[in-house]
Order: sequence, then structure tokens, then C-alpha cells
Amino acid sequence: MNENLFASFITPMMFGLPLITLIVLFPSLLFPTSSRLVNNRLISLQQWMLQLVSKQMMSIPNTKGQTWALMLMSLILFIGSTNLLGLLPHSFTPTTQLSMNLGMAIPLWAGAVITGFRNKTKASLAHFLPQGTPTPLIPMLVIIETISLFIQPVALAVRLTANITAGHLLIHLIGGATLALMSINTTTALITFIILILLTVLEFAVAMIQAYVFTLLVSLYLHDNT
Amino acid sequence: MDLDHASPLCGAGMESDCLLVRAHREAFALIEIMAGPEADAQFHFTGIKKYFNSYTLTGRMNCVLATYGSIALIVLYFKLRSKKTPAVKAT
Repeated sequence: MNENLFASFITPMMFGLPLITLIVLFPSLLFPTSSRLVNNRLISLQQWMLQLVSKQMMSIPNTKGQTWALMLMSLILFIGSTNLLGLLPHSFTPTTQLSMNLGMAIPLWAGAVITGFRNKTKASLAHFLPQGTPTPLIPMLVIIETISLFIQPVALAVRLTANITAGHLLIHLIGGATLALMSINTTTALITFIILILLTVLEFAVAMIQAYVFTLLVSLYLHDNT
Repeated sequence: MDLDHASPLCGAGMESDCLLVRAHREAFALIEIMAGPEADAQFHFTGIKKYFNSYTLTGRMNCVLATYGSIALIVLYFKLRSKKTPAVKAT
């Protein structure tokens, strides 16, 4: 077990140069483009998956919101592939960095909100007060709704960071415990190993679900503002 | 939209009392009530409530703007008050 539990979250460097750009760009190599009508198995499978996801996700926004389809599909592909690649041993996951996730969440949220204020100013302002609010509660509710609006991008980023970081930490800890228990008690080490396997399966699911949740929430914010 | 013939599950010769059609009609009516500016017409307020209420789009917008304006005025008042109060001189 590493003496420093958080060593895997430090941005990797090589000869003093940060590798983060290469790591962020790497998933794009896994999605080759093709100019053929009939593609190979990998591209066909990716296209089928993308079509399935886009049909499911783009049914929520209206026509104006559907102009964001390319952006949202790129987002889910990027986050999903980055999270899954991060489950490889000794790899670095960019989505464990809060700075990265805030860098994705804030512009997307701000874009949706500004679109709403530009196209439907009255409805966007009226959104801060739920319909049917009793008169004495109006000022308090306006303040609460304003705070909840500004918390949205922070919640988006922190949710992704916390889920992925927590999962990686757990795998690290339980893996270390399994190794340590092997020389002490083999049966307990076996049980811990089974828990590790189950946790890894869970982390695969979490990696994909978190990508879906992030993109779904952005599409919902867009739907509210278009 | 002609709701009487909207549902494919209702036969061509069936009356408009078809349950499914009625359910569609009620659902669309609910959506209409919840929709934007067209819904404001069903509320008839008078006096100040016409401009400040929590039911119409205009009323809600004006309440929100009034709340923000009040907060801005309070902040401005305290800022100007602290500027007016002279600093205590050391003796």
C-alpha cells in the first residue's frame, strides 16, 4: 500500500512537463471516425451505442435544445471513457480533479442560463418564484431559488469528483487490505478479494452512471431555459 | 388538434366519450393551464395584485425584481451610512 493514499490523484509529470493534455486527449483515439458507409465492428458498435444514448437523452429538450446534441453527446462520451480508463491500474483519472469538472460544469450551466435569459427573459426571471407561493414567503423563496440556481454548477462538479475519487480510494484501500491480509489469514483475504471484485464491478457502473447523470442534468437545465 | 380522433386505440366509429380520448383531453388541458403567457388570462387580479402576485408570469417576475431591488437598496443604504459616519479620532 502506498504511504501516500492520494498519490494516484497527483497530476502526472514527465521530465518536468505535465502529461495532463495527452491524458485528456487520449480517449478521442478510442473513437475513430470513418468515411465508409459500412464500417468495421468497433465503429459500428460505437455508432449504435451513440444512437441509443442520443435518442434517449435528446427526447427531453425541445427543438432549440436539440441544437446542443453534439455538445451533449461529446460530453457523455468524454466523461464515460475517461472514467472507464481511470479504472485501469496505475492510471490517472482527469475527472478526479475538481478544477477539470468545474471547467466543464460552469460553462455548460452558464450557457444554458444565459440562453434562457436571452430568449425568454420574463419566464427565466419568473422561474425564481414558484407558482402559488404565499405572499409572506415570497422574498425568502426568491433568495432560496437564487442560491439553488448558483449551486447547480458546483453540485454538478462536486458530484462527479466525489463519486470517482471515493471509488478509487475504496479500491485502493480494499486492495491494500487484501494484500496485507494474505500473509495473516488467507480466508479473510479471500473474502476481502471477493469484496474487491464486487466493488470493481460497482465502479464500472458508477463510471457510466456518473457520465449519464452529468449530461442528463445539463440537458435538463437546457430544457428549463429553452 | 382533433383529440376525438387522436388516439389510434379508439375505433373510427366510436363516440368522443372514449375514455382514452377523454384522458388525453384532460392531460392537454392541464398542460395548457401550466403553460406560459396564455395561462395568465385565467387569473383576474385588480389593484396592486395585478402586478405583484405569485400566479401570473408578469406578477412573479415583478416580485422577483422587487426583491432584488430591495436587497440592492438595503446594501446601498448600509454602504452610504458607513461612508457618512466619520472615523473616530485618536486622542
